[in-house]
Amino acid sequence: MAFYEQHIHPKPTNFLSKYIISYDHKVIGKQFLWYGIFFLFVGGLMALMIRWTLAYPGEAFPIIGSFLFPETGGAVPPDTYAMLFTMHGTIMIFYAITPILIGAFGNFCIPLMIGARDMAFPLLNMLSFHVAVLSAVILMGSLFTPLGAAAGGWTSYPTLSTLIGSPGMGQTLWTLAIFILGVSSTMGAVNYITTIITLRAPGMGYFDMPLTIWGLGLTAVLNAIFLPVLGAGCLLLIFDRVFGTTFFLAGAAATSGTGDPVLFQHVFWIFGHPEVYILILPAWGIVSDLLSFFARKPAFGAKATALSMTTITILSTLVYGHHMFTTQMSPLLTQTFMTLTMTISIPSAIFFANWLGTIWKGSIRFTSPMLFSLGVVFVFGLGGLTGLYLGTVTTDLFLHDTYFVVGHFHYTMAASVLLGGLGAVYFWMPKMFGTIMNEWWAKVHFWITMVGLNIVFMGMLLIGYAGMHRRIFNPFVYEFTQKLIPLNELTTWGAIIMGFAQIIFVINFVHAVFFKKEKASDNPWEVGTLEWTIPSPAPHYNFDKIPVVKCGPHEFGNPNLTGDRDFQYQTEELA
Amino acid sequence: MNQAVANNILPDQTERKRVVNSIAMIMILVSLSMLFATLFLGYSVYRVSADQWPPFGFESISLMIPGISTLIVILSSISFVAYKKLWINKSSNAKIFYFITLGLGLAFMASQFRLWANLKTTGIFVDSSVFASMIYAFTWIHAAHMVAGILALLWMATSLKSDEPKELSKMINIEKFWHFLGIIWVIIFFGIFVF
Ligand SMILES: [Cu+2]
Repeated sequence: MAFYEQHIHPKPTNFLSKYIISYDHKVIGKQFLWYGIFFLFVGGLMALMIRWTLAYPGEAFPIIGSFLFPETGGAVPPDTYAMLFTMHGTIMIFYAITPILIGAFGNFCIPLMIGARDMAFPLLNMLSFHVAVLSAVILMGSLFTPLGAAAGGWTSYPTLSTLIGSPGMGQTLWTLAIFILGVSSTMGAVNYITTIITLRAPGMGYFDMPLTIWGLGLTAVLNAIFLPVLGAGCLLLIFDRVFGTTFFLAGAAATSGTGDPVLFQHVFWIFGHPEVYILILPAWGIVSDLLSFFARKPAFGAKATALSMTTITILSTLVYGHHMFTTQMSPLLTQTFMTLTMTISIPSAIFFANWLGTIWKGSIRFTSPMLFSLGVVFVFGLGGLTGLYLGTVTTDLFLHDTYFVVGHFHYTMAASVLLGGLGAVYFWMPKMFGTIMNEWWAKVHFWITMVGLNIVFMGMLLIGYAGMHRRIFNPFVYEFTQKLIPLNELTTWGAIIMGFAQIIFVINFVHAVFFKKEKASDNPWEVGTLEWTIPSPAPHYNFDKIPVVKCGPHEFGNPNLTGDRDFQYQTEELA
Repeated sequence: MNQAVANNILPDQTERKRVVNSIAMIMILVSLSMLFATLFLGYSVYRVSADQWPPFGFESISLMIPGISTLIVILSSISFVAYKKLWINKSSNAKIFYFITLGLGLAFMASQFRLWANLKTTGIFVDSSVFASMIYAFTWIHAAHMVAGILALLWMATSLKSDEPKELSKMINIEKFWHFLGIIWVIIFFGIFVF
């Protein structure tokens, strides 16, 4: 039940109020989408440079290499390599995935799917985007400082991230940028939570919300609770670097007094493990909905799925120690963390089984959003299972800091989230921009991406299992890794295929947004959730009359439906 | 069920809007609590792993100034409550308490500057040791929030002239923030200065 009435604001008229300083959640969502796609490109380019260096060490990066690295004739220099993998991780996690899944779809979907006219605090929403832009400017600026950008890895462990490990402005600006981005995301999270609690349409209980909203809501809760933890860590790191405090300096590194470098790891992972779920929960929610929508069946055990996601959210706060098994923790602690980590398998298995139950015996429509959702089911299964080896102390001691870890988190965080995000773009495109993307090219995009993606990340798992360490500029100086050169080359070609496949997406997307004449219908996918009851693209006030919700989001195949419709709108009441 | 029925669950629009604002403010305070909790986590790690606290070569900080700050913070919370009570009753004395609260807020900041100056004269600098680092980090971060609190108080000055219900919503939420800062300070006082 909406707590209060949102008025219809007059339509913005000039360019500035329409696209730049808009209060409209849909425009802010689109702003975040463009922002995320831009950084996906930057981070992707960095990934290709990293992969190129690992396959062909010392060889010039094709085409743009000689322009970027003239002093080495186009090959990536060792110090730049460290900056590249640091910035690649940071950009992909905080500046590409977060804005697309949470910024874009959080903003776009929440009010539309719960039947509200806008977020509870439109001004806060707008500020959240502008603060994110400020953070991005600082981060990109750090690339042009004299000693280059941060190079301590996306985790920025001291002493790599202290003045001893990385002198120069780059790391300081990195830390500042992350802190500011944290402020932006927290502002967003407060807004999302308040909106979900207070602005649901009359009749919509929590279990009548689409699972997308469940995913986004739980993400917002984790963001609001754990981003400040990283924020505190960043503040202390900034103090260390700028004012000379000694929080993370120990032994000879500290001129006086002594701090504790490992403390940062604790703080980072108290935030960092929930962050994994911050990224994946929206994708899970979206996939849970899309599977039901395109299998033309009610979501199997939707309530159990929602509750499993909630359980995982709670458990995710208790397991961070599995990232630190090699930091000489007490065995009692490592075993506790291991056990708690394994507990997450239970709710994960429940909702995974629910996904399969949803598509079981469904009349599946293999549209592009469905293909991407099925892709998520596949890659997340693989990613989740490889996680078990890393959550187990005995195997983790061997696999820690190898490419196996890299492969694992790319499967869970990069592959599943990217596929989920792309599926969401294809799905909500009609409501966002009023046109539908070319289905044939969308499917081509999916299959090439899927092939490339599995070559890269499977390759990483194998290379890591063979013992290749991550973050080494040229691992082939060691004899035992020299046999891995062909596999590394294959992995790199997988990355190149995956990278180039995205050109298909970009052309398809830009064409649909700017050039396509043919308008999408109001409900091209034949789905019953609230956003499909209004025109495409959604008008600036969303709902001319606030809808009254009568049923859940996944009602299909009710025998009382009239005509040849097999879905039921959430505003309809049928016997 | 129609729109009018659905909207009649709570008495009126402004009161409903106030509930919404309160939910958001509580979320913000949860976030800020986590920020300070992390700092306290760090502090307890240093404290527990240190052989001796304060470390060799340092003496405990005099409780004089931090004690005064604590007193100020408690009084400011009381005067804030008084202001709200009197404002609701539309009493003409309300204004005095607004200025007392604001004055106490500024006095708190002054006491913090005094504390930092004192620390310097006794040879405790930011980079002296993790003991000093911790005191500075806590007081800086708390003071930064205090500045935000004072700015919010100034923003609340509109309530001096107006008795619209939306002023009450603003007041109630700034009050939450203000008490929160007071509580954090009291925890800092006992956690860091006293023990
Ligand atoms: Cu983890």
